[in-house]
Amino acid sequence: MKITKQICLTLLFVLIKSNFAAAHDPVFSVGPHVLFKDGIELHGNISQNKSGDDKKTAQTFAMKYGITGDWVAGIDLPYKQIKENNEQLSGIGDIELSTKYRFWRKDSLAQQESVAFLLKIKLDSADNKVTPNAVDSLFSLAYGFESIHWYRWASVRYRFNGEVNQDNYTLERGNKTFVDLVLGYRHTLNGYRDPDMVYMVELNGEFSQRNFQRDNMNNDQVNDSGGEAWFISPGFMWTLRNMAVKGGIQLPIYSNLNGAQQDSDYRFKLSIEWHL
Amino acid sequence: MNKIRDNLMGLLAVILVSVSNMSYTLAAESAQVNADGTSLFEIRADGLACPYCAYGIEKKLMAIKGVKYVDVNLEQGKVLVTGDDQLNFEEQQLKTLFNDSGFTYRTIKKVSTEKVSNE
Repeated sequence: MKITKQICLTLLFVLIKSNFAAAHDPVFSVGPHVLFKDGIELHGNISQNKSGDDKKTAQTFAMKYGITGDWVAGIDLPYKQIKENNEQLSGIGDIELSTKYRFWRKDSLAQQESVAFLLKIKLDSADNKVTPNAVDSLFSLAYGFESIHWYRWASVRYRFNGEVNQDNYTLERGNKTFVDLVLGYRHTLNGYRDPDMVYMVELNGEFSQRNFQRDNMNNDQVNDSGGEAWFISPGFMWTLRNMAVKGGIQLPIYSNLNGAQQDSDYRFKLSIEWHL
Repeated sequence: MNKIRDNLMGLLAVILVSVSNMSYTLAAESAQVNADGTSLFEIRADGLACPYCAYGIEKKLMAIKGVKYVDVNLEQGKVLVTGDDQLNFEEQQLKTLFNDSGFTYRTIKKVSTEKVSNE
Protein backbone atom coordinates (compact mmCIF):
# COMPACT_ATOMS: atom_id res chain seq x y z
CA MET A 1 0.00 0.00 0.00
CA LYS A 2 2.83 2.30 0.97
CA ILE A 3 4.71 1.38 -2.22
CA THR A 4 1.60 1.98 -4.32
CA LYS A 5 1.24 5.41 -2.77
CA GLN A 6 4.86 6.20 -3.51
CA ILE A 7 4.57 5.01 -7.12
CA CYS A 8 1.55 7.26 -7.59
CA LEU A 9 3.31 10.20 -5.97
CA THR A 10 6.40 9.65 -8.11
CA LEU A 11 4.39 9.45 -11.33
CA LEU A 12 2.30 12.45 -10.29
CA PHE A 13 5.43 14.42 -9.55
CA VAL A 14 6.84 13.49 -12.92
CA LEU A 15 3.67 14.44 -14.74
CA ILE A 16 3.33 17.73 -12.90
CA LYS A 17 6.91 18.68 -13.47
CA SER A 18 6.47 17.59 -17.10
CA ASN A 19 10.12 17.98 -17.85
CA PHE A 20 11.26 14.39 -18.23
CA ALA A 21 13.07 12.72 -20.97
CA ALA A 22 15.13 9.64 -21.35
CA ALA A 23 16.85 8.35 -24.37
CA HIS A 24 16.22 5.30 -26.49
CA ASP A 25 18.44 3.07 -24.40
CA PRO A 26 17.90 -0.36 -22.85
CA VAL A 27 16.07 -0.70 -19.53
CA PHE A 28 18.75 -2.23 -17.29
CA SER A 29 21.93 -1.38 -19.15
CA VAL A 30 23.25 1.67 -20.96
CA GLY A 31 23.24 2.65 -24.60
CA PRO A 32 25.01 5.37 -26.56
CA HIS A 33 21.96 7.56 -26.95
CA VAL A 34 22.22 11.19 -25.90
CA LEU A 35 19.94 14.22 -26.10
CA PHE A 36 19.61 17.02 -28.63
CA LYS A 37 21.49 20.25 -27.90
CA ASP A 38 19.78 22.40 -25.24
CA GLY A 39 17.21 19.66 -24.71
CA ILE A 40 16.05 18.75 -21.24
CA GLU A 41 15.24 15.22 -20.26
CA LEU A 42 13.17 14.51 -17.18
CA HIS A 43 13.07 10.96 -15.99
CA GLY A 44 11.37 9.20 -13.10
CA ASN A 45 11.62 5.55 -12.30
CA ILE A 46 10.79 2.98 -9.72
CA SER A 47 12.92 -0.11 -9.28
CA GLN A 48 12.92 -3.05 -6.93
CA ASN A 49 15.43 -5.80 -6.14
CA LYS A 50 14.33 -8.86 -4.19
CA SER A 51 16.72 -11.46 -2.82
CA GLY A 52 15.18 -13.90 -0.33
CA ASP A 53 13.76 -11.88 2.54
CA ASP A 54 15.66 -8.75 1.51
CA LYS A 55 13.95 -6.19 -0.64
CA LYS A 56 15.24 -2.87 -1.92
CA THR A 57 12.97 -0.32 -3.57
CA ALA A 58 14.03 2.97 -5.06
CA GLN A 59 12.25 5.84 -6.75
CA THR A 60 14.56 8.08 -8.68
CA PHE A 61 14.06 11.45 -10.25
CA ALA A 62 16.64 12.43 -12.86
CA MET A 63 17.24 15.40 -15.09
CA LYS A 64 19.59 15.62 -18.06
CA TYR A 65 20.70 18.45 -20.28
CA GLY A 66 22.01 18.27 -23.84
CA ILE A 67 25.25 20.24 -23.96
CA THR A 68 25.74 19.42 -27.64
CA GLY A 69 24.07 16.95 -29.99
CA ASP A 70 26.55 14.31 -28.76
CA TRP A 71 27.15 15.24 -25.14
CA VAL A 72 24.76 15.11 -22.21
CA ALA A 73 25.08 15.72 -18.46
CA GLY A 74 22.64 14.76 -15.75
CA ILE A 75 21.78 14.48 -12.10
CA ASP A 76 19.89 11.68 -10.32
CA LEU A 77 18.18 11.97 -6.96
CA PRO A 78 16.91 8.68 -5.49
CA TYR A 79 14.56 7.94 -2.62
CA LYS A 80 15.23 4.48 -1.23
CA GLN A 81 13.53 1.94 0.98
CA ILE A 82 15.42 -1.07 2.22
CA LYS A 83 14.13 -4.11 4.06
CA GLU A 84 17.11 -6.17 5.21
CA ASN A 85 17.45 -8.66 8.06
CA ASN A 86 13.98 -7.68 9.32
CA GLU A 87 15.12 -4.08 9.52
CA GLN A 88 13.47 -1.36 7.46
CA LEU A 89 15.17 1.84 6.39
CA SER A 90 14.10 4.63 4.09
CA GLY A 91 15.31 8.05 3.01
CA ILE A 92 16.81 10.15 0.27
CA GLY A 93 19.82 8.43 -1.26
CA ASP A 94 23.06 9.83 -2.59
CA ILE A 95 23.02 12.27 -5.47
CA GLU A 96 24.51 10.89 -8.68
CA LEU A 97 26.14 13.03 -11.35
CA SER A 98 26.62 11.66 -14.83
CA THR A 99 27.84 12.58 -18.27
CA LYS A 100 27.79 10.74 -21.57
CA TYR A 101 29.72 11.61 -24.70
CA ARG A 102 28.97 10.00 -28.05
CA PHE A 103 32.36 10.05 -29.75
CA TRP A 104 31.50 8.02 -32.85
CA ARG A 105 28.36 8.06 -34.96
CA LYS A 106 27.56 6.59 -38.36
CA ASP A 107 24.29 7.72 -39.90
CA SER A 108 22.69 6.14 -42.94
CA LEU A 109 19.16 5.94 -44.31
CA ALA A 110 16.87 4.99 -41.38
CA GLN A 111 19.83 3.63 -39.41
CA GLN A 112 22.19 4.91 -36.77
CA GLU A 113 25.22 3.25 -35.27
CA SER A 114 27.18 4.89 -32.45
CA VAL A 115 29.54 4.47 -29.52
CA ALA A 116 29.55 6.51 -26.33
CA PHE A 117 31.55 6.84 -23.16
CA LEU A 118 29.75 7.34 -19.86
CA LEU A 119 30.97 8.49 -16.46
CA LYS A 120 28.83 8.45 -13.36
CA ILE A 121 29.77 9.47 -9.84
CA LYS A 122 27.69 8.64 -6.80
CA LEU A 123 28.41 11.21 -4.15
CA ASP A 124 28.27 10.59 -0.43
CA SER A 125 25.61 13.24 0.05
CA ALA A 126 23.02 11.40 2.12
CA ASP A 127 23.50 11.18 5.84
CA ASN A 128 21.73 7.89 6.43
CA LYS A 129 22.13 4.16 5.98
CA VAL A 130 20.13 3.64 2.78
CA THR A 131 23.29 4.00 0.71
CA PRO A 132 26.92 3.20 1.60
CA ASN A 133 28.84 6.15 3.01
CA ALA A 134 31.29 6.22 0.14
CA VAL A 135 31.89 7.82 -3.22
CA ASP A 136 31.52 5.35 -6.11
CA SER A 137 32.37 5.96 -9.75
CA LEU A 138 31.24 4.10 -12.84
CA PHE A 139 32.88 4.07 -16.25
CA SER A 140 31.08 2.65 -19.25
CA LEU A 141 31.51 2.10 -22.94
CA ALA A 142 28.31 1.56 -24.91
CA TYR A 143 27.66 0.57 -28.52
CA GLY A 144 24.31 0.80 -30.26
CA PHE A 145 22.78 0.04 -33.64
CA GLU A 146 19.27 1.31 -34.37
CA SER A 147 17.15 0.73 -37.44
CA ILE A 148 13.48 0.81 -38.35
CA HIS A 149 12.90 -2.74 -37.09
CA TRP A 150 16.00 -4.01 -35.27
CA TYR A 151 18.07 -2.70 -32.39
CA ARG A 152 21.35 -4.01 -30.97
CA TRP A 153 23.23 -2.72 -27.96
CA ALA A 154 26.32 -3.85 -26.09
CA SER A 155 28.01 -2.28 -23.11
CA VAL A 156 30.68 -2.80 -20.50
CA ARG A 157 30.52 -0.98 -17.18
CA TYR A 158 33.09 -0.93 -14.40
CA ARG A 159 32.22 0.43 -10.98
CA PHE A 160 34.90 1.51 -8.52
CA ASN A 161 33.33 1.11 -5.10
CA GLY A 162 34.62 3.48 -2.47
CA GLU A 163 35.78 2.49 1.02
CA VAL A 164 33.33 2.68 3.88
CA ASN A 165 34.71 3.78 7.24
CA GLN A 166 32.96 2.06 10.15
CA ASP A 167 33.53 2.67 13.87
CA ASN A 168 36.61 0.50 14.27
CA TYR A 169 37.40 -0.79 10.80
CA THR A 170 37.38 0.12 7.13
CA LEU A 171 35.43 -1.90 4.59
CA GLU A 172 37.06 -2.12 1.17
CA ARG A 173 34.15 -2.84 -1.13
CA GLY A 174 35.08 -4.94 -4.14
CA ASN A 175 34.70 -3.34 -7.55
CA LYS A 176 32.05 -4.59 -9.96
CA THR A 177 31.99 -5.25 -13.70
CA PHE A 178 28.80 -5.36 -15.77
CA VAL A 179 28.50 -6.83 -19.25
CA ASP A 180 25.32 -6.35 -21.29
CA LEU A 181 24.00 -7.55 -24.64
CA VAL A 182 20.61 -6.35 -25.85
CA LEU A 183 18.36 -7.07 -28.82
CA GLY A 184 15.34 -4.92 -29.65
CA TYR A 185 12.56 -5.30 -32.20
CA ARG A 186 9.90 -2.95 -33.53
CA HIS A 187 7.20 -4.96 -35.24
CA THR A 188 5.28 -2.06 -36.76
CA LEU A 189 6.51 1.38 -37.64
CA ASN A 190 3.70 3.88 -37.16
CA GLY A 191 3.62 7.54 -38.13
CA TYR A 192 5.84 10.08 -36.42
CA ARG A 193 3.02 11.32 -34.18
CA ASP A 194 1.60 7.88 -33.41
CA PRO A 195 2.51 5.56 -30.51
CA ASP A 196 5.61 3.44 -31.03
CA MET A 197 6.55 0.18 -29.32
CA VAL A 198 9.93 -1.57 -29.18
CA TYR A 199 10.35 -4.93 -27.42
CA MET A 200 13.73 -5.76 -25.92
CA VAL A 201 15.52 -8.65 -24.33
CA GLU A 202 18.73 -8.11 -22.39
CA LEU A 203 21.43 -10.45 -21.17
CA ASN A 204 23.09 -8.86 -18.14
CA GLY A 205 26.20 -10.25 -16.45
CA GLU A 206 27.61 -8.99 -13.15
CA PHE A 207 31.01 -9.81 -11.67
CA SER A 208 31.78 -8.60 -8.15
CA GLN A 209 35.14 -8.72 -6.43
CA ARG A 210 35.34 -9.70 -2.77
CA ASN A 211 35.15 -7.13 -0.01
CA PHE A 212 37.97 -6.70 2.48
CA GLN A 213 37.62 -5.69 6.09
CA ARG A 214 40.62 -3.78 7.35
CA ASP A 215 41.53 -2.62 10.85
CA ASN A 216 44.77 -1.88 12.73
CA MET A 217 45.62 -5.56 13.05
CA ASN A 218 44.17 -7.38 10.07
CA ASN A 219 43.09 -7.17 6.47
CA ASP A 220 40.57 -9.99 6.12
CA GLN A 221 38.51 -10.82 3.11
CA VAL A 222 34.77 -10.96 3.65
CA ASN A 223 33.80 -14.46 2.63
CA ASP A 224 30.16 -13.68 2.00
CA SER A 225 30.85 -11.18 -0.74
CA GLY A 226 31.63 -11.12 -4.43
CA GLY A 227 30.69 -13.53 -7.17
CA GLU A 228 29.02 -13.76 -10.52
CA ALA A 229 25.40 -13.49 -11.63
CA TRP A 230 23.62 -13.50 -14.97
CA PHE A 231 20.14 -12.29 -15.81
CA ILE A 232 17.79 -12.45 -18.76
CA SER A 233 15.65 -9.33 -18.95
CA PRO A 234 12.61 -8.88 -21.16
CA GLY A 235 11.46 -5.29 -21.48
CA PHE A 236 9.68 -2.74 -23.60
CA MET A 237 9.81 0.87 -24.61
CA TRP A 238 6.62 2.67 -25.55
CA THR A 239 6.87 6.19 -26.89
CA LEU A 240 4.55 8.90 -28.05
CA ARG A 241 6.43 11.74 -29.71
CA ASN A 242 8.49 13.21 -26.82
CA MET A 243 7.25 10.94 -24.03
CA ALA A 244 8.45 7.43 -23.23
CA VAL A 245 7.49 4.67 -20.83
CA LYS A 246 10.06 1.94 -20.33
CA GLY A 247 9.93 -1.17 -18.20
CA GLY A 248 11.32 -4.62 -17.70
CA ILE A 249 12.04 -7.44 -15.32
CA GLN A 250 15.41 -9.09 -14.62
CA LEU A 251 15.22 -12.81 -14.01
CA PRO A 252 18.28 -14.71 -12.72
CA ILE A 253 19.53 -17.51 -14.95
CA TYR A 254 22.87 -18.28 -13.29
CA SER A 255 24.66 -17.24 -10.14
CA ASN A 256 27.87 -18.23 -8.42
CA LEU A 257 28.07 -16.05 -5.35
CA ASN A 258 30.78 -16.51 -2.73
CA GLY A 259 29.86 -17.75 0.75
CA ALA A 260 26.37 -17.46 2.15
CA GLN A 261 24.71 -14.82 0.00
CA GLN A 262 21.11 -14.66 -1.10
CA ASP A 263 20.56 -15.26 -4.81
CA SER A 264 18.47 -12.65 -6.56
CA ASP A 265 14.80 -13.55 -7.03
CA TYR A 266 13.98 -10.74 -9.43
CA ARG A 267 14.51 -7.10 -10.21
CA PHE A 268 12.14 -4.80 -12.00
CA LYS A 269 12.22 -1.27 -13.28
CA LEU A 270 9.54 1.02 -14.67
CA SER A 271 10.29 4.50 -15.88
CA ILE A 272 8.68 7.46 -17.55
CA GLU A 273 10.62 10.04 -19.52
CA TRP A 274 10.00 13.35 -21.19
CA HIS A 275 12.11 15.19 -23.75
CA LEU A 276 11.63 18.94 -23.62
CA MET B 1 -47.79 50.65 -50.74
CA ASN B 2 -46.81 48.25 -53.50
CA LYS B 3 -44.16 50.72 -54.60
CA ILE B 4 -42.69 50.84 -51.13
CA ARG B 5 -42.75 47.03 -50.95
CA ASP B 6 -41.05 46.76 -54.37
CA ASN B 7 -38.38 49.24 -53.32
CA LEU B 8 -37.72 47.34 -50.09
CA MET B 9 -37.48 44.07 -52.01
CA GLY B 10 -35.11 45.69 -54.46
CA LEU B 11 -32.97 47.06 -51.63
CA LEU B 12 -32.94 43.65 -49.97
CA ALA B 13 -31.87 42.03 -53.23
CA VAL B 14 -29.08 44.57 -53.64
CA ILE B 15 -27.92 43.94 -50.05
CA LEU B 16 -28.02 40.15 -50.56
CA VAL B 17 -26.10 40.36 -53.82
CA SER B 18 -23.58 42.74 -52.23
CA VAL B 19 -23.06 40.54 -49.19
CA SER B 20 -22.84 37.51 -51.42
CA ASN B 21 -20.23 39.20 -53.61
CA MET B 22 -18.33 40.44 -50.53
CA SER B 23 -18.25 36.91 -49.05
CA TYR B 24 -17.11 35.53 -52.39
CA THR B 25 -14.38 38.17 -52.62
CA LEU B 26 -13.20 37.52 -49.03
CA ALA B 27 -13.19 33.78 -49.62
CA ALA B 28 -11.27 34.26 -52.85
CA GLU B 29 -8.74 36.51 -51.11
CA SER B 30 -8.41 34.03 -48.28
CA ALA B 31 -7.82 31.19 -50.73
CA GLN B 32 -5.23 33.30 -52.46
CA VAL B 33 -3.44 33.88 -49.16
CA ASN B 34 -3.49 30.17 -48.42
CA ALA B 35 -2.28 29.25 -51.88
CA ASP B 36 0.53 31.76 -51.84
CA GLY B 37 1.29 31.81 -48.13
CA THR B 38 2.33 28.24 -47.47
CA SER B 39 5.39 26.42 -48.64
CA LEU B 40 6.55 22.85 -48.18
CA PHE B 41 10.16 21.71 -47.84
CA GLU B 42 11.43 18.15 -47.96
CA ILE B 43 14.66 17.62 -46.07
CA ARG B 44 16.65 14.39 -46.42
CA ALA B 45 18.54 13.30 -43.33
CA ASP B 46 20.34 10.15 -42.22
CA GLY B 47 20.20 8.39 -38.86
CA LEU B 48 16.44 8.69 -38.38
CA ALA B 49 15.55 5.35 -36.80
CA CYS B 50 12.99 6.16 -34.12
CA PRO B 51 10.23 8.76 -33.73
CA TYR B 52 11.14 9.53 -30.12
CA CYS B 53 14.70 10.42 -31.08
CA ALA B 54 13.51 12.64 -33.97
CA TYR B 55 11.63 14.96 -31.62
CA GLY B 56 14.71 17.17 -31.25
CA ILE B 57 14.54 17.99 -34.97
CA GLU B 58 10.90 18.99 -34.69
CA LYS B 59 11.60 21.18 -31.68
CA LYS B 60 14.51 22.97 -33.33
CA LEU B 61 12.68 23.50 -36.63
CA MET B 62 9.55 24.81 -34.89
CA ALA B 63 11.73 27.44 -33.20
CA ILE B 64 12.50 28.96 -36.62
CA LYS B 65 10.29 31.90 -37.56
CA GLY B 66 7.81 30.96 -40.27
CA VAL B 67 7.76 27.21 -39.62
CA LYS B 68 4.22 26.03 -39.01
CA TYR B 69 4.38 22.26 -38.95
CA VAL B 70 6.95 19.47 -39.01
CA ASP B 71 6.43 15.83 -39.91
CA VAL B 72 8.94 12.99 -40.18
CA ASN B 73 8.99 9.97 -42.47
CA LEU B 74 11.52 7.60 -40.91
CA GLU B 75 11.54 4.97 -43.65
CA GLN B 76 12.36 7.53 -46.33
CA GLY B 77 14.62 9.59 -44.08
CA LYS B 78 12.59 12.70 -44.81
CA VAL B 79 11.62 15.64 -42.66
CA LEU B 80 8.69 17.61 -44.10
CA VAL B 81 8.47 21.24 -43.09
CA THR B 82 5.44 23.41 -43.75
CA GLY B 83 5.90 27.15 -43.39
CA ASP B 84 4.89 30.52 -44.72
CA ASP B 85 6.00 31.86 -48.08
CA GLN B 86 8.83 33.85 -46.49
CA LEU B 87 10.41 30.70 -45.10
CA ASN B 88 13.83 29.80 -46.38
CA PHE B 89 16.71 27.67 -45.19
CA GLU B 90 20.45 27.81 -45.65
CA GLU B 91 22.59 24.70 -46.02
CA GLN B 92 24.88 25.55 -43.11
CA GLN B 93 21.91 26.33 -40.88
CA LEU B 94 20.44 22.89 -41.54
CA LYS B 95 23.77 21.09 -41.14
CA THR B 96 24.14 22.64 -37.70
CA LEU B 97 20.51 22.07 -36.76
CA PHE B 98 20.59 18.38 -37.66
CA ASN B 99 23.98 17.82 -36.05
CA ASP B 100 22.74 19.47 -32.84
CA SER B 101 19.78 17.09 -32.97
CA GLY B 102 22.07 14.08 -33.34
CA PHE B 103 21.54 13.35 -37.06
CA THR B 104 23.14 14.04 -40.42
CA TYR B 105 21.67 16.51 -42.89
CA ARG B 106 21.82 15.56 -46.59
CA THR B 107 19.68 17.67 -48.94
CA ILE B 108 16.73 20.04 -49.06
CA LYS B 109 14.10 20.51 -51.76
CA LYS B 110 11.25 23.00 -51.95
CA VAL B 111 8.37 20.78 -52.94
CA SER B 112 5.48 23.18 -53.33
CA THR B 113 3.98 26.53 -52.52
CA GLU B 114 0.45 25.14 -52.60
CA LYS B 115 -1.72 24.94 -49.56
CA VAL B 116 -0.55 22.01 -47.43
CA SER B 117 -2.90 20.29 -45.05
CA ASN B 118 -1.76 19.78 -41.48
CA GLU B 119 -3.95 16.72 -41.13
